[in-house]
Amino acid sequence: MDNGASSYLRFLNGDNDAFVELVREYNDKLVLFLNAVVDDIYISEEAADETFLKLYTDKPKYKSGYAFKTWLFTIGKNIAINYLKKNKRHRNVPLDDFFYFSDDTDIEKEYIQGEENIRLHRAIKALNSDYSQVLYLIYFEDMSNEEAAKIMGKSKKQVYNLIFRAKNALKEELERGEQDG
Amino acid sequence: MDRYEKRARSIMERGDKIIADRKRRKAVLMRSGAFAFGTAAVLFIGVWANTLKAPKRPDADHSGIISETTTAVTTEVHDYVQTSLSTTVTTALSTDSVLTETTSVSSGTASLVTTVSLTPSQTSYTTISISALQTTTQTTMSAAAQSTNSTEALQTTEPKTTTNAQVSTTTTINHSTTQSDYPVTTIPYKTTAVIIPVTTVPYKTTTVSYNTEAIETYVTTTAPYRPVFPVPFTSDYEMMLGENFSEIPYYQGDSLVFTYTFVSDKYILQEADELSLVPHLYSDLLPDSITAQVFTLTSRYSSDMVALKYQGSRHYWLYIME
Repeated sequence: MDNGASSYLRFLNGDNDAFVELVREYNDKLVLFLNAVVDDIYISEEAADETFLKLYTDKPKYKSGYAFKTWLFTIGKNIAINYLKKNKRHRNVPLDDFFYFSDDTDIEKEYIQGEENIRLHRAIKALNSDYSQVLYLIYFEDMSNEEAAKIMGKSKKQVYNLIFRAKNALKEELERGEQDG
Repeated sequence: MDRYEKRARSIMERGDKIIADRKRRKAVLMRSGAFAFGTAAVLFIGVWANTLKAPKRPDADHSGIISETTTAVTTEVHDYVQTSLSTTVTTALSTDSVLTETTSVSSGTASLVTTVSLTPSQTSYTTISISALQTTTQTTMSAAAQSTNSTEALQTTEPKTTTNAQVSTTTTINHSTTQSDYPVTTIPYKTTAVIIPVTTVPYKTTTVSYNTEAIETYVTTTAPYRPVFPVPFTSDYEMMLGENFSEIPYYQGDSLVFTYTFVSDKYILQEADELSLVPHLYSDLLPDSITAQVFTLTSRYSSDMVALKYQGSRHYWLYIME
């Protein structure tokens, strides 16, 4: 059982400090992943909040067949998509706006350090949502293809193909960025 | 407190409010739901109870006003008596079947046979009030008519004088039962004959109009007997086995034996408790056309059960008493 699952089970048994541990461990990762899904850092933060709120109020049953992070990201993604459907608006936020966060903490800025990382991040953000998601999950969260497939609701074969196409698209995007200057 | 803990505490605070709100709404829903369920249950039981009423007689279309004309000729004085019956039946409940019929009128009397249907599960008695208007009309009969006493001859004559006499009578059919009996009985038909004296005058036409009112009065059953759970079932036992009966009832001597499970507010009969029903004595309350067997239950739970079987309509009622 991973740390997340252990904390969640302690939380289910009434230990609220375990809930704090979950937020500390997974909040940033969840926000960044959801940002790859919805391409909106504000919605990502709200969706991450809603995800933890769902854990707190509904206490859904954790399926131990997957890593806790996979399970959490799946819930978060569903919440983010529902959020988009409900609000019927997909806010396209310029990249510069990513450096503002409501709690004065720049998750993305902390995450993206150095000129090279910024370029990489810009390029990933320029890709379509599926490419961004799969690259984030595989290369930044070190998830397996199976875990990424679970979160994205795709088959392993689809994820494999998606990674291949996403890497090519990222390469083209980075080359285009170099040419622009 | 770092920003993660702040964020977590903020989420927990919101979550606590949501949980409290859910609990409050759930309590409100439970209260209103219980009220709605209670109302629905009362309505359902009311409708259901109506369906349990005794089967109507095949000729039950006589409810309401019945008008008949019966003609008879007195033999002793060779009078002509015309009896015009206009019978109005009133019942306490519109759904009850109360029938009034007439028989022929003989010399000097008019007979009225009233049939009353009572509602199951209610002790009742019926008061039948009959007022009859007797009209005696003096006629001048033609020679031909006098010689033949024919009705055609009478129709050609005009009445000379008319006298009215009000006669009335009241009879009560008491269906109440004593405490030694079971007050919950189903009495589909109760027949009583009412004789109205009619004064006939030679060479005069006597018309008797009946105005009959049957009033059923229901008496609430008092302790120690109280209907707990009336269970309808038909002779197709399988139809109700799924609900309460775990096996097909069978006769064992004079007893109907079956297994019945139910829950009341006072006691619980567990599945597989065998209850014997012994024929009771209410058969005489039923008309000949319907054979009835009433069963009394004696069980180790000190509960009593009354079942009434109509072989004709193949309907059963089962009453569990305490």
